[in-house]
Amino acid sequence: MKKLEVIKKTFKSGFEAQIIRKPYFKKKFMGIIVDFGGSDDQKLCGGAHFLEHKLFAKKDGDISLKLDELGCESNAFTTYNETMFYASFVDHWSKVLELLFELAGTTYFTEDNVNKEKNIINQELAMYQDDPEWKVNHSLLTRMFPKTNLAQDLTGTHASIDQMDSETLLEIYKNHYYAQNLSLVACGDFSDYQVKKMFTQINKLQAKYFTSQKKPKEVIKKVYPRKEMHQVINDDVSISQVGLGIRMPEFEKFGFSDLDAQILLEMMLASCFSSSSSWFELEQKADILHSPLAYSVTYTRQGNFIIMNGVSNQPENLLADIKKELTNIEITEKEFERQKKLFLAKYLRQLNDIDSVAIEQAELNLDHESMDEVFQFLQTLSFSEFYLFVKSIIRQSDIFTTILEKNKRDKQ
Amino acid sequence: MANIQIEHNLKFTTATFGCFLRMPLNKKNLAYANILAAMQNMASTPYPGVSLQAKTLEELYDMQLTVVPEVFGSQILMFYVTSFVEPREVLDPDYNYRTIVRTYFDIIKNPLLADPLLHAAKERIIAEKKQFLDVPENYAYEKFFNYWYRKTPDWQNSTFGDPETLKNCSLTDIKEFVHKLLSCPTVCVGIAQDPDLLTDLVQPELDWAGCSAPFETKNLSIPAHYAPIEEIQQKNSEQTQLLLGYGYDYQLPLKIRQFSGLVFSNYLAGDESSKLFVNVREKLGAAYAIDAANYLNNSLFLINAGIEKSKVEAVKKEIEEQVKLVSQNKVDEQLFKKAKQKTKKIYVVGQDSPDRQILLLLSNALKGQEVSLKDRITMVDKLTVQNMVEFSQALFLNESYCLE
Repeated sequence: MKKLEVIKKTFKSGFEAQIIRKPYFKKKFMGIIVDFGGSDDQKLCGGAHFLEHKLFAKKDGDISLKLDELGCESNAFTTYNETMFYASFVDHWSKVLELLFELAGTTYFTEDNVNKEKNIINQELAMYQDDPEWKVNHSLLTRMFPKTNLAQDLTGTHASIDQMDSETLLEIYKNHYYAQNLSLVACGDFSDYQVKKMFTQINKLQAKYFTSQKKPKEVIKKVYPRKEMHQVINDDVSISQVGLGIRMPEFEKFGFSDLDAQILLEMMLASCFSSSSSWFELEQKADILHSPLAYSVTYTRQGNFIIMNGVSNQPENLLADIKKELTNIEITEKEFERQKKLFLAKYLRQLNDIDSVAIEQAELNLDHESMDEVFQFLQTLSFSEFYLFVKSIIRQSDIFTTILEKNKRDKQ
Repeated sequence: MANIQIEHNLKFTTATFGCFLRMPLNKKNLAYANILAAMQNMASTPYPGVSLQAKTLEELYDMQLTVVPEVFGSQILMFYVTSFVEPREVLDPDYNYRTIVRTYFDIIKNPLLADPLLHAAKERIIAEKKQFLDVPENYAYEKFFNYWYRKTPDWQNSTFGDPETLKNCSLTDIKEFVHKLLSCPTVCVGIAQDPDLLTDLVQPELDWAGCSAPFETKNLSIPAHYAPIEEIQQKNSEQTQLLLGYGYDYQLPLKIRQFSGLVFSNYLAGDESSKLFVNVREKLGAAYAIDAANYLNNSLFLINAGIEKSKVEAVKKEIEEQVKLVSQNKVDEQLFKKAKQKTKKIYVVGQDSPDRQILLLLSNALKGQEVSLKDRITMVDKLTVQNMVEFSQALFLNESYCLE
C-alpha cells in the first residue's frame, strides 16, 4: 500500500502546518482548522457557527469574493469540536494562502452585518429542522446530554441566534483563535520547491495574524442524562422514523484513544447491523426493516455517543430488536478480520478525494493521531481485546430511543 | 463487436467499470427498473441471500456494486457499475481483475427471480420512497416535475416510477422486463490501471443481444411546450420551497442550450458573488442557499430555494427580475467572466473524480460523439455575453411551484 506523503511543521508560536502531496491531481485544497466547535463551552450556543459565518465579512467586503476572483471556491464548516475554513482551487496557491489567513485571522463585526446574518442562519436552522431525521436526532441528544451545547443544533436555537451580537462574537473569537489552537492543511500536486516556499510563507503569515496564548485546560461539567429513555413524537411523516442513541462513557477508561475506539465501534456496528449481517436479513424477512440502518459514532470533549437511524412500519419491534442485538453482541474472529479489510478499503477509497484526505488529516492532527498509528493499532489488536471492549462499553452505556410517528389524525 | 471502452487510470486507488443498458422512459419501465435494481442489489442466483451477496462483495476489499436506473431525458439508463480497489494497492494474491470480473458478471447476469426477493425489493422501495418524500425539498421536486409533465404522464414520477406498478408488479412482469432488457442497447465503459487486461476479461462476457446494438440516440432531449402553470401546496414545514421552471427550445444550438445554460446557472447561483446568492441570501436574508440548474435533456432551466415563508413574493420577483435583466442585455460582465471561469473549473477538477470520468465516457457514447474535457473547456472559453443573453431570451417561465 502506497503511503500518503505528509510533510509537517510546527512553528515557534505553536501553529502547526502540514502539506499532503497528491501527484497528478488538478484540484488543490487549503484549510485552517480551529480546535473549537459548536459543543465547546461558549457564551451563546451556536456561537462557533455564527463566528464561522461572520469571519467572511471584512471591512472591504466579503472575503469570499476575493477568493472567487482567483477561481477558488471557499467555504467553512463547524462540527462539535472544530471549525474549518477552506478553499479549493486549481491555480494561485500563494494568493489563496494569504487570503485564507486573512479570513481566519481578522474580524469585522458590526451591528448591521451581525443582524443581517441572523436571517440567514435562522433559515439554515429552519432547513435542517424540516428534515424528519433531524427531529429524531434532536430528541435523542437533548435527553442524552441535557443542558449542554450537544443538546442543541450546531447552528444554535432561533432564540440564541437572535441574541447574538458583535461583542459576543469578538469574545468567542479572542478566546479560541490563537496560534496553538489552529493549524493549516494543504493538499494537492505541489512540487518540492512549492512545498518549501509554502512553509516559508505560512511562517510569515501565522506570525502576522495569530498570537501565542497559553491553551487553558477545559473543564468539562459532569452532566447526567435525562431519565426519559423513550420518546414518541407525532409528525407529518408517511413512515415512522426510528432513532436509537447510545450515550457512552469516556474511551480512555478502556485504554483506547478516541479515534481507535471510534473505529472499533464502527466495526462492531457494521458487523451487527449492516446489509451483510444476519440480523438485517432476519429483520427484512420479518418485514420490520427494509433498508439497512444508518449509524455514526461520535466522540466529543463533552461526551461520546452513537446514533442509529432507520424507518419502519413496526417501529417498536425494530427498537426492541436493535436493543436485543446490542445486549447480545455476537461477532466471530473471521468477521473481525473482514472488518479490518473493509477499513483498509475505505481508507484507500478516500485517497481519491482531495477534500476528504485534507480534512481527515487536519482532524487527525488535532487529535495527535496518524493513519500509520491506526493501521499499526489494528494490526496488533487481538480479537479478544476488540470483543471485550465493544461488549463492555455497550454494557456500561445508556440507551435512548425515539419514534417519530405519523400524526394520529392522519391515521384515521 | 461489443460496445466497450476502458480508459487508463493513472492516479486513482480504485478502478471503475460498468454496463449501461438503455431503454425508453415511461413510468412503468422506470418502476420495473427500480424493482429489478433493488432485487439485484440484494441477491442473485449464485449468492441467494442479502447477507451472502453483501459478504461476498465485502471480502473483495469492499467491492461496490450499484445497480440503479437513471433518467436521461427520454431514456432510462440501467447502471450496473462497480468500483473496486485496484489490486496493485493491496498485493493480495487472491485478489485480482479476474476475480472481480467473475463476481460482477455472476451477479448481474444471474438475477434471482423469486417471490420473497421481489417482496423485499418492493417493500424497500416503498419505504425509501416514503422516507424520501417526507423531506419537503424532495417532495417539492417530485411535485414540480409531475406538474411539468402533466400532459405527458409517462414522464411523471421520474424518481421511482409508476406507484401502481410498484405496488402490483408480479414475478412474471419482472421476468418479462429482464427478457426485454437483454435486447436493450448496451455499452460498457470504465477506467482502470490496466485497461487492456480489464478489456480482455470483460469483452467475452458481453454476450447478450443488446451489446452489439448501437448505443447512441438522437432523441434524448424532451421538448418543453409553452403551458404556464402556477401551483401552491400546503405542508407543515419551517421553510417554503419555491421552484421556478423555465422552458426553452430543445432545438437551440448545443453551444447555447448546453454551455450558455451552464454558465447562466453559475451567473445566477454559482457561488458567493452570483446574482441570486447576493440578492436573495445576502440582501433579502430570505434563504440559506439558492440553486440554478440547467436540465439539458428536459429543456428546463430550474431555479429553486428553501425560503422564509414571508418572503416568497420578494424572492420570486427577484428571480424573475434577474432573468429579465440578462434577456435585456443588461449583463454584469465581470460576473459573466467569473461564471465562465467557474464552469471551466468544474470540468478541470472533474478529471479528479472517477465518477465524473465515467459519466463523460457514457455521455459521449449516448450522444455518439467524442467531445473531450478539453473540447468542453474550449467551448466555454469561446462563449460571449451575447451567447448567454441569447439563452436567457429563449427562456419562458412555464411553472411556478410553491410548497408552503
